[in-house]
Amino acid sequence: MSKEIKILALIVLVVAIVAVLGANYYRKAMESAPVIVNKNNNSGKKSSISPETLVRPDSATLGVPDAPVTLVEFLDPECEACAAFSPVVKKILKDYDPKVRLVVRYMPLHPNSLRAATLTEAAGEQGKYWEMQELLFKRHAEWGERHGAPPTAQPQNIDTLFEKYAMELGLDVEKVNDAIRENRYQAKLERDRRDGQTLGVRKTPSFFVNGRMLMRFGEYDLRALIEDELKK
Amino acid sequence: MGNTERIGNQGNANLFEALAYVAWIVALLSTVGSLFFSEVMNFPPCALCWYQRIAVYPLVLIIGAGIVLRDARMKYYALPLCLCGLALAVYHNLLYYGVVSETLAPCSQGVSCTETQIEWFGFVTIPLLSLAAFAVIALCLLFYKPKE
Repeated sequence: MSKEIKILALIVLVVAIVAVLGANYYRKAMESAPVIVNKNNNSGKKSSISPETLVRPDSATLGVPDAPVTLVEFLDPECEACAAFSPVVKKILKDYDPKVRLVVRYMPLHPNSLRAATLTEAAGEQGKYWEMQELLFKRHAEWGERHGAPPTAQPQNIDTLFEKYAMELGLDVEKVNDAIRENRYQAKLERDRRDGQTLGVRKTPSFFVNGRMLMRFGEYDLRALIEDELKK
Repeated sequence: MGNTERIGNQGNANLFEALAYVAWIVALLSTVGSLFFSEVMNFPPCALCWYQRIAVYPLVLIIGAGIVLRDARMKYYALPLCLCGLALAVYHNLLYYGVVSETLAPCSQGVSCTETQIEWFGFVTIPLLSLAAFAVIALCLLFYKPKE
């Protein structure tokens, strides 16, 4: 090996180590403080973001209301990563039951996100919110936009598909169709999107654990943040 | 007399050769730094940032290969890329500091090229860092001379 290669390799190594340590330090620092300063916090820090921005009373929640940890997920029903990560979220809820509760917020970023979110909310009217969420995630390939996938030969009509899903869950299809037709949840979805932007949500899914933003997406990091909150 | 001159030349030759390392380190830090901004700090890169990344990332490999091969022609491979990056960085700064109107900005991808992401010491911004990096790399490459 020539002298030059050794010098370059050494510099690359040093820079890589510094970058990795810096990344970890930065994420820790960012995660250490909640985006919203709660009232019990007497550190004197001022935040212009109100706590309602994170948890709205009409958002779908899973778990006991007074759980010590509130996990807020900003998701998009048409997002593949959200669909893939959904079983992990459910597993985490089960593992930490009854210490963690989930609050679902919407960050619609795809062509049919709003329609799918409306379908989920309409299913919620009939007590099948979570069933519909799961069904939409599972059948994402049928109705959703896929990254890098070639267009299917015969794209199925989304209205027909959504009606089929409603029927599969034994819902009153007419009521569901009404909700979609009159765009019943437009205001709620718009508000969620605005709240997400205020909180700095740029990707889905994005998670907040008791107001602390998860800086690196993944099961390990999410669990670590939850554990950290439970230790308090 | 002749002796000291030779020593002086020797020192200069070392200096001119070391410039390649300076250029390479600046390119490496730009690469790692830009990835840090986007991947760790979650700043979405604007369109112009992407074009400048395209210019700077290959420089790490091209200049690196030039150093290892002690190839004087390395500068002719690396400079065109570097000058493209420099031109983009100049344009980006003109845009950022309002010299060129924002309506001319070729920005889409949801994030404006004139949005302020960082402002260290009150004046160090990402477009300015990019401009400084390309300028330093270009100067280093211009004056780079490998020893025989």
